[in-house]
Amino acid sequence: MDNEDQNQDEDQDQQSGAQPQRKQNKGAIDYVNSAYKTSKHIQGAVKSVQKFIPFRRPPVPSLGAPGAPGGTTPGVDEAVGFFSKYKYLVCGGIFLLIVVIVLLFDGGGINGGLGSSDSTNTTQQPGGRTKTTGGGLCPSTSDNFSAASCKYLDPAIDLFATDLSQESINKYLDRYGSVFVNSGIGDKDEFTRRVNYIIDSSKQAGLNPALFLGYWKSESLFGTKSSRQMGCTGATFEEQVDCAVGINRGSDPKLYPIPNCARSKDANSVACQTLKGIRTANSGQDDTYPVDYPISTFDDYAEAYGPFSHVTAESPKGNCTSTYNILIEVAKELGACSAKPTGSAPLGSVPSVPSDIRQGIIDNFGITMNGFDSQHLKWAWDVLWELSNTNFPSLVKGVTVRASDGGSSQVGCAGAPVAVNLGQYTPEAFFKFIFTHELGHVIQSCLPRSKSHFNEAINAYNTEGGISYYGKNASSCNGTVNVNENYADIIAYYLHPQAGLGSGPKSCGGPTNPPNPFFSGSTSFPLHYSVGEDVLKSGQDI
Amino acid sequence: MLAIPIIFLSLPNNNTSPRLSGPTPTLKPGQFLPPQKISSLQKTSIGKVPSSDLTKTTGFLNKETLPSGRVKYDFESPINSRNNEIITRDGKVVYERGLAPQSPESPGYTTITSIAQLYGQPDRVISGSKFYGWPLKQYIYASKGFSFIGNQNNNEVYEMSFFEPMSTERYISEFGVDIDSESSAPIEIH
Repeated sequence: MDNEDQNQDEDQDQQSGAQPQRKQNKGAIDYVNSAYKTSKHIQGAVKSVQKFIPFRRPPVPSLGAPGAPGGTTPGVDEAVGFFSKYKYLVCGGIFLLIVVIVLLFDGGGINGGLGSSDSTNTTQQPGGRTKTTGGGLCPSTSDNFSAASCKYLDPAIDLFATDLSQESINKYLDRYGSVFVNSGIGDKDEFTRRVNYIIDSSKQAGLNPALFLGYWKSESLFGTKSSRQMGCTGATFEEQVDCAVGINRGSDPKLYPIPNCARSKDANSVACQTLKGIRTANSGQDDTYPVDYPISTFDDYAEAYGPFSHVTAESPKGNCTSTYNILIEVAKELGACSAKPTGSAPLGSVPSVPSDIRQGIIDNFGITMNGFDSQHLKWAWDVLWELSNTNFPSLVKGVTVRASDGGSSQVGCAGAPVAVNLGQYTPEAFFKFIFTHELGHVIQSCLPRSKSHFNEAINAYNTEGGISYYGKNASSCNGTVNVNENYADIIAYYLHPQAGLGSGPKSCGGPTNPPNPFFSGSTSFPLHYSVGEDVLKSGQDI
Repeated sequence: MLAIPIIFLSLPNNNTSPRLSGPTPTLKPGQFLPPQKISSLQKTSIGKVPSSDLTKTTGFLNKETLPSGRVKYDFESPINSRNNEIITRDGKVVYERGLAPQSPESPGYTTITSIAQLYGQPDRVISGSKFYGWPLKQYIYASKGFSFIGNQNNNEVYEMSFFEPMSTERYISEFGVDIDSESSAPIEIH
């Protein structure tokens, strides 16, 4: 959907099968409410149905073994008799069940349209679109490919940030250059030239190049799938880019309102007023899937450029399940997602230590600590309560940790005789840090990947590099896999914002007091931080 | 009002699983297609010429001629450092690798037990993966023409490979580059 299509209705397809969820549910509630009030009609309906589906006992057989041909079948016989006797009660029960289910769905489950059912603060918008606020992470799209539940993810991608590192640009060139070259459109130099044109034009417009590099992929696969390379009009590639970002021929606010509304930063600008008029006229699009004027966020730009309600040839929700998800992934690949810690989780309060600390840990957290002295048991008690405001204790519930003189390692999962061997380290902060590192391995290797966010962690490592010396070098010094140690360090550093500690063994070397990669100054690991949030933040789906 | 009791009274007794929605084939998680198709992760059929130009297939990234003369095609996958692969020889597909999604709702997601239910026990299981690390194992169904890397802790299949049926030894020799039988839980001595 491009700028000019906002002015013309030619591309506004029927929304067959894509009605907003909220409208469907409201209709269903009205139906159910009216039907519930007329129960006598239901009784009459059941009587009518009985004529077509009579309740009959099986024929009285000659006596034989239960289940044998001609024999009685006690269970079935009793069931049919029960149903015949209480048919009105059963049908009424089914009816009430429908009411309950519909109310549950409308009350708290599915919000209309692009609603969010996650735990981030939500603002209910008119018409049913729910905006997430305070999300602001580098979201995974792995669960966003279902047309039924696809939604905007409120990524921490600044619509007006224009800087891209040359390293990120080179990665984009290396990753996608072959697609362009193999199609025969041009050589590597031509691909590079076009990439640079998109970047330079975006910067000129004051808009994030990552967004338009994403559109080049989503709308035409770098020109290999469609001549409308940016989903925007123009006789040449350059004109189409100008159209998308709103410069040169694309600077007319009435003809190209989307980018110009964003660039104006003025809700009363000609561009924004034009855009609002178009979206209002288009089947109430602005009510159902509202955007804030002026366009100032990644999600609002995506909604304006390719409306969620637009039915595509790919699927009823192709603008979400295909285009939008691609935009997110490309932005992440380019390092354009800049989630910053807004603060660590508040420490949980630590109650008084029980006389039997080991049993107290078992009773409160389901974690068994074997062989530890009272000092380390207390430290374990403390850290689990301190982290009780996160998902951490529940994610590792059921594990057995054994005190070890021979180093630390994760060897099993919850329910195993031993899940973790753990040294009785001093000082206290180091013990707690390694405690969470080793149990971080339990999260990574024992839980479903949808809970450990394993793929996102690997992708974060590939995009941002390891967050620690050990995470970057484990394979060469300890015979393990970098991404696994990097994952455990995500857990440890996220949970210990004050920690300037290293988890690597002595054999690996490396700094023993590095800064916390998430909480010391400006973070350069937004993708890793988002993994930590997704896994550990209390209220995230576990 | 008549519809509700009619509907419920006429419901079949057997449970039905919800269909998956999405742009990809609407298979239920873990559903396999006989005889050539073992998983919805497959884009091609082993031993056959691809039905379309692989370089124009969705997700195509790169094409490379290997020293053996075979041609390898890389495709996007859920993990950006481990592409899906298709390898051809004389134009015919001899190998395909697809990474399974991590979301149970996504097409292609499957579990170790579901594969075992359909195909029985593997010809061989080897612990260790160079890419994924020690907890994961290689489940080799070489005689049936596929293998996968799975995690018995969470019962998930992480990726699958497809090839013509062969001996386990030949599979290990030709395609077992990721096997790391010596990997084990690292011990960190601080």
